Amino acid sequence: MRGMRFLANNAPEGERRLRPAHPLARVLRRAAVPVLLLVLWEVVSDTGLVDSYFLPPPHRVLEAGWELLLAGTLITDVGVSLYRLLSGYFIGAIAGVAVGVLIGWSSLMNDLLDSLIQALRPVSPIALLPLAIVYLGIGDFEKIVLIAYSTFFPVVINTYFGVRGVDPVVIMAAKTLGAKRRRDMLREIIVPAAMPHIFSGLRVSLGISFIVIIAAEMVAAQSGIGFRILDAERIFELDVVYVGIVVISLLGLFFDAIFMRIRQRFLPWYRET
Amino acid sequence: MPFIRKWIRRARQQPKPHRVGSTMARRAAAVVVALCALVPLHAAAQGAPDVVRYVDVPLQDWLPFWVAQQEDFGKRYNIELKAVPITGGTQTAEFAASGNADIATVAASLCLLAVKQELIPNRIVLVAPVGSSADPQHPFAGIIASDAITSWKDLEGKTVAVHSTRSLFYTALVTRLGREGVDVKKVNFVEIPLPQQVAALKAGRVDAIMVGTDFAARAVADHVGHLLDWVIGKPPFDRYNLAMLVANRAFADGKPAVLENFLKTYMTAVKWIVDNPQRAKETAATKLGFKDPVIATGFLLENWDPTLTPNEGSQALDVEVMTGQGLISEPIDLGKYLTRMNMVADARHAVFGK
Repeated sequence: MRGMRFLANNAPEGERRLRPAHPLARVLRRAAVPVLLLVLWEVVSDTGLVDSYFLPPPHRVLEAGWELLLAGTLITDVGVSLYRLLSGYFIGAIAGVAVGVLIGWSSLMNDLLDSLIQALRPVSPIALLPLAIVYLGIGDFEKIVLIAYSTFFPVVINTYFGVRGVDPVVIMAAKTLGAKRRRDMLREIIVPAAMPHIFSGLRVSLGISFIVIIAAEMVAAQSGIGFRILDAERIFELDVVYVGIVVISLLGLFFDAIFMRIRQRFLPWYRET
Repeated sequence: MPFIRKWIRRARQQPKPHRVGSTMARRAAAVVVALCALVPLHAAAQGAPDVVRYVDVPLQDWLPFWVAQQEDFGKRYNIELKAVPITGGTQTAEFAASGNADIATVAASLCLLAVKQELIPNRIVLVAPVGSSADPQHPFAGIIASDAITSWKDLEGKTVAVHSTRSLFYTALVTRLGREGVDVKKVNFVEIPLPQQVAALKAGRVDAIMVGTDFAARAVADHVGHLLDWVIGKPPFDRYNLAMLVANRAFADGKPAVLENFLKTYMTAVKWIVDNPQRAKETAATKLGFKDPVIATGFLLENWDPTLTPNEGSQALDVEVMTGQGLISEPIDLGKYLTRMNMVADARHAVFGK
């Protein structure tokens, strides 16, 4: 009884907390911590609390970024990195969804492929880098393959769980309503129901792809953000290193925002709890 | 605060801890513990060795450090060398600059960039050349090419692997290619880490590799390619000083006596290398992880000079190369930053006499 009374007394407050904030307030709230960190960064660097060579202040990083932008280097590097990243990501994602659906739907395929997938899944793509150079050559192809490899496993695992997790009642209902062909079941029931899981896998993979592309571009590359970071470090230009880090971070943020928009569009019915 | 009162009541109800031993025994134990704590202070008062942390990279330029530790030369001059292992490159200077190490060996060409970025002299100071150089009898790195390449000109239109396009290997190669009349723009350089270059050449992914004497020995033994020529060790990179000793500025200014003792230890180790080349080579092979007997016997020792005498010709060549590559815009006189040469002379006098 006490619990019920507590809930009753606090219900309006609970509702208020769930009510979405004003859009401007949300923007301000989201920007508060990054802005605070930037101010802190500027202060500790300018006052010498941290050696400004190792942590150049944000304004110097901005200047270095602006110079790279004017020279056209930044645009080229971002373009090259995105080309490699997106090419590998789409290849890995498509393959991952296809294999995930296959092993989730068919017990035979699951028996055939599961142990191989589980064995390869923990192998870091960065560990494969030296072999990739020898087997796949030097250029974009080897980097695209590595990105595809790193994208594949999170997508395949999430898709598998999405397919396996479809409510049997829904499947039974579909069969009762006349969905007899396996293809129809897959297209109309299984894949749409597994979509939240698939999107989770795709989102995780996107983050991993950004990590892998930087590592891949640090070996056997002459352009790209990873190469630029390494190259700047080799000639003591740490402000350019920070430019690379900030650019990667902003790109990650940008693509994640796009990704969430796409998810909202494809899965308007899906709500995160 | 009823819960605090409750908590105190419970605590009071706890049984008293059982005391071990008599009062005398406990007091005696306390005295022993106090004495143990005083031992380090006593040792310090008695002249415990000063610890010198050095940046350690698996390259032959670090051989005197390994020899000094192996032969315990630090004991003679009351210092203890402690390795700070890193991968190399600019980190060598950065670790010394940040104070994570007291001493570092930095490639001579990188020292010019460190001056450009004001790391020298603001955060690190140039102490002396490391004492190793390359010459025709002691080559340091060269080109291993596939069988199809028989002359320098053949490299035009071909792919050549270097571990870094900011490295001495690359700058030296480009300089040599220019002197051999090769159009450098027609050579396609790719960056591949040194340990993977032999495999890349074997797989036909590249046409030539620029490697040290260690990997060159492996490649030639496996018939992966042939030595086109040595690059670092042959003109213009003969009598070429490979690296410089640098020290963290606070360390050098705050503990000059320790720095001098380090120099004496270092010079003693270099002298030992000169006197015991075979044993020095074995030490280097062990520290460089050369388990492969072909590499362990095939790599060559650099030319070691225990006097740590600066080589102005080599410095001028570095400036010429780095300016030519556009890495520095105006000539830098490294000699101007070698401000501890008096200390080096004193150490030399102490170790070798007049």
